[in-house]
Amino acid sequence: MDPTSLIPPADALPAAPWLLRLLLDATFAVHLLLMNAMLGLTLLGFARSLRQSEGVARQASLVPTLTALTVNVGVAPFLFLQALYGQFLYVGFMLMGVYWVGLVLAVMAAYGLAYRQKYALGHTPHGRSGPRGTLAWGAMALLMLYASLVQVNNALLLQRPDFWSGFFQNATGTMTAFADRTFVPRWLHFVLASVSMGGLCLAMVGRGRSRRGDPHGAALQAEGMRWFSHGALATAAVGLWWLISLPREAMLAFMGGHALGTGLLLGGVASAGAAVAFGLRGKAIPAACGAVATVGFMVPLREVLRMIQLSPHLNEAAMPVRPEPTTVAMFLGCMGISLAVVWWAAARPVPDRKGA
Amino acid sequence: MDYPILHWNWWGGGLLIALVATIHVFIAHFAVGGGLFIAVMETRVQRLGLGTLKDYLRRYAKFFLVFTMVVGGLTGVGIWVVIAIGAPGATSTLIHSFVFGWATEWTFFLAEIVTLLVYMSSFEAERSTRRLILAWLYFAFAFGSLTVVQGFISYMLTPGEWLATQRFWDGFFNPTFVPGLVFRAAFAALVAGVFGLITAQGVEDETERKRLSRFCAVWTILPLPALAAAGWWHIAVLSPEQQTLALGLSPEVASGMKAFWWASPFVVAGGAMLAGGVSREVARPVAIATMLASFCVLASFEYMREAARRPYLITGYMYSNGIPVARAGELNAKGALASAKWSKVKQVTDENRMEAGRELYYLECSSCHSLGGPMLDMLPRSAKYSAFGMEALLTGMGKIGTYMPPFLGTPQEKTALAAWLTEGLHGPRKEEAPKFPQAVDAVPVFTDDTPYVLTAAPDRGINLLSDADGQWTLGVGTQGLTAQLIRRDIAPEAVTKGVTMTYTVADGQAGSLQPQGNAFRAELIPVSPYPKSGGFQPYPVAEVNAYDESGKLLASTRVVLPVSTELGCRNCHGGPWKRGVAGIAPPTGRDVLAAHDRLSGTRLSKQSGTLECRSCHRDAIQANGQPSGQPAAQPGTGANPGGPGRTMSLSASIHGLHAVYLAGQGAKACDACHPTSPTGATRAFRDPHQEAGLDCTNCHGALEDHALSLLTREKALGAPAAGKLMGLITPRDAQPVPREPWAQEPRCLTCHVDYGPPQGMQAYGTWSKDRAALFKNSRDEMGAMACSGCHSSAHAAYPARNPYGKIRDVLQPMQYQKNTNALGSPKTCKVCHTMDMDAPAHHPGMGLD
Repeated sequence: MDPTSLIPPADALPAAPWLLRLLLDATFAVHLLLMNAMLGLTLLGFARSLRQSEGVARQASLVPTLTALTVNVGVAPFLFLQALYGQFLYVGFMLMGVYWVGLVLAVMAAYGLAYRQKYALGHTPHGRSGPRGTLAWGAMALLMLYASLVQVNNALLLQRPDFWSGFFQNATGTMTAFADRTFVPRWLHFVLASVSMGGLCLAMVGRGRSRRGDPHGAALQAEGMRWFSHGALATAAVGLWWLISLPREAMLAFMGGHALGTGLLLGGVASAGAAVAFGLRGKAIPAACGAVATVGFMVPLREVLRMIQLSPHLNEAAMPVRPEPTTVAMFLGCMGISLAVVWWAAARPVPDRKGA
Repeated sequence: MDYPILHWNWWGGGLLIALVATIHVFIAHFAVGGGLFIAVMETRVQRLGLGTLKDYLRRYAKFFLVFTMVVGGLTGVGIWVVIAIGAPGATSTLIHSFVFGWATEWTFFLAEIVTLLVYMSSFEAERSTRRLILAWLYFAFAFGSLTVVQGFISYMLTPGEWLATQRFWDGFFNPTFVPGLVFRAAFAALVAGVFGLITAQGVEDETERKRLSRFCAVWTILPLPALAAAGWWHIAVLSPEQQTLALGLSPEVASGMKAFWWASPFVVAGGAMLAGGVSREVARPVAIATMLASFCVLASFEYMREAARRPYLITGYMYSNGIPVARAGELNAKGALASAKWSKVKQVTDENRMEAGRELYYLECSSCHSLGGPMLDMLPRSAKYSAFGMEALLTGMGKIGTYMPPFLGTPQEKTALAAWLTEGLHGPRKEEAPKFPQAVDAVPVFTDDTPYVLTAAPDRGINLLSDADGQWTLGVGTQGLTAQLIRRDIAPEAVTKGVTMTYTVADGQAGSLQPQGNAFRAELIPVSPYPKSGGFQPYPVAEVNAYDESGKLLASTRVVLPVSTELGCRNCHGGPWKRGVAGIAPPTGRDVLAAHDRLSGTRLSKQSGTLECRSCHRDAIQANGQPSGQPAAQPGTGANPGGPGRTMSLSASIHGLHAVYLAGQGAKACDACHPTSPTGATRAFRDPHQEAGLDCTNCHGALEDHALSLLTREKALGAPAAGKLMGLITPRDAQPVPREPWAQEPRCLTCHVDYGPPQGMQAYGTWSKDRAALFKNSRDEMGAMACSGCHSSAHAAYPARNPYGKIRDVLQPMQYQKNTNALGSPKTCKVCHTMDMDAPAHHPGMGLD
């Protein structure tokens, strides 16, 4: 069956595709950083609670906030993704509908457990997890890993219309994209990146403690940087596996065939290399900058890959556009106001004790 | 049409959305109202120095944070997931039309989260202007979120100018935007008070607990008037069709409005009780009950709002099954299957009929209906229908009842869907095959020297008897009988003086005929198709005898008095045949009344005794079947005068309503209800017209035209319902010619011009002038013989073929002529005239020309 015959028509966009793509990539990059930190801290929380490490309570207190922000900031790229690729996204959505419903329940449960950890571990000696705490970390990790599998599955089904005809054999919403050779490296790439980012968060917590004179801060920072560096190296190795698993045309596109794609890949490798180098030297801030830069390269790189794989089915020039500039202005204005409030609120997190 | 449809049979399309959305919407309102509550409380704590309330506020805010973020936030994502799965087309429209609106709402959401998290982390201070600002900022952004989302939700119900322009602002500022926003704002305050009532019961200090309870009760009760006013305003701006649904006047959605009226007083009562300062043991359950009642209030509002949107997801733009309104024409012409990207079957064939029907179910029904699930289960809903009945329902869908969208597709697809919904889901119907025991009818003796000829004919060759005993009756089913005693002579004479005429029907029903002009008449002869010996016999035979004053038998003949209970109500209204092959069983009768109640807002199902349909729907036949003697609908006369507010005649009502459902079925539409089905147990259409290939529609018109002729007259007389029905019926073969039922019927001479061979095969539209001109009341050109005396009754004119006996419908021709033809034919004038005649005196032709 010709997969093109299954692709729904695209609805009109209210702005130029480049603007929506810019917004998609910008918000997705922030979402990815937050998500990596959330998942990474959870995975490390489980690993560290097994070893009865100290400082898990502080780690736990970050996860609910990160989850809230991950979910929130995930809304924006999800929105722009629907606008740009709705005709692909919704189909993929439906083909794996059961997993999507499961994802909502899984994240809700993980989120609830995160609050449990925050309030329960805050009262334990040295901030260590007891057996229940370890169990909760494990459950959170499993739930979030499930969510990551769902997201990878969805991303692949979106750009593989050739899989879609499987619906005629299975209309229950349980389709997977396991047959795609890139599934495993893609998923591992994100999970390992999360471990790396979790390590970076841990290092930043340790750095903060050191600055406040906590004698355990330096050890925590060093442990975090180890997780970061080794995680980043593993991520890069799996990234290579992902690259060579791509269909030949796509792979070659990132090896000089596609200038932007190749440039982004090189930039990403360079920034990741720098981040690892700083990480191995224990320099948290430069390593963090390198990590953020890497995400900054990798997100549009991922977009380029999607466009290459969808190119037989998507003609961007033919995408219907019905511009509504006033709505763009409304959005940008409100975003400015909201970000100003966020900046104001987040910039002074220390409680005001003047009335105490 | 453009997306795959998951086969989540048990869930259907709506249950998951209803579950997730209802929970989310409730929490989302709490997120707004609770934000205001926190800001107000924070202000009171700080500005009024109510430091003792700080712990309470912290506990409330902590619960608020976890509950709204974990459950509220994730169910919000959940809504997107389930609507994208359940209605991807509408979701895509909603996203693409309002991308930057949603994005704006996201920025508010981001600010909400950050301000709330920071607010919670700054609780250590006793007084803090910053914390106060954070609380109010949270509320401001939360209300901003509500405002933006309200624009999109209300757009789906009342898209307003957007339908024409498809511009953001036209859709956003739609007619229900402001009233809906006021309603939601009021409810947000209410639900904040309700949660306050629950958390207040955790305060240890009794005085403080009661003071807080009073404060929260004010929040709970005060918004209710605003809620009611906004609800009324919201409904007032809807279209009349939407108002009917929103008010719960349509039975499909009545439960939603009931829930609202039941739950609201509970909210008031709960708030009042807690304001009164009840003990802690009582207060907790009351607070929880109040919360549940408030949940019901909101759920019912959302349910009614969704109901008012039927049959659309986006009013006027996309049907509730996701099919864009603009594509209706394409689907009807090209076919739904061929137009659907994700259909395995593209065209209906004899081989794939069931599979095609199943595909069509998923395309057009599964977005709302489940199969065996708790919500709108299709299995019980389809169980009562025959495939034909289901097809009729599909034809009428979106017309009479606008709750569901119209079926879109080709007639073949409609048939396939109907077959799958009935035979596919429930298996083939097991029907008892009718039996036709062949009677050997005795023919009275007639010889050349017999002095009299006695003719007798019933009024109706097809005679419906409704036997929904104890439930309702159509008021017909009795028979009338016209007999003429002819003294044989060269110049024969109809005799009435000094003659007594009697009839005796099989099974003993007997009576006398009364002289009327040159004939005898018997009215209201009770007849039944159920002989005492059992079985079904729709053609009982009556013996008619004429006696002189001394009691001497002058003449005797036999005649069929047709009667049948083979009314096909069960095709659509369910139930078995009452007597194996005919009869209206109690479930069928009940469903007819329920349907009347549903469509007309009556409460007939609740009434006891037998309902006379004609007691409301009066016409030229009285409720007992007796001719009313005057055209019932003449303005200012009779019991059913013309004028505004007139209730339609029974014929107009029944045919008008059913024509909407049975459109396009030709004579099958007639056979579906009347006992004329060629496969039924009566087969009442049995005269030569049938053998000539004609059917009901040749004389009466297709059901659509037949109905329109009745409705046109009703409309002119002022019946408001007639116009509505006429708007739903498309003329098929001819333009309507007004007709009064029972008093005006098709005329034989329309085709048989000058009594000659037919000069056409369409008698529709040329009606008899009045009751006197009806075939059963007509005479020949001499005014001597009743037409039916020589030709028998309409639909059974000689030489009719009766399925229950070779000569049962031609007893008199056999008696007098030894053939099956009309009396006097061919060239049998001497039956009455005792000699052959050479001029057709009764009417031209007569086989003598």
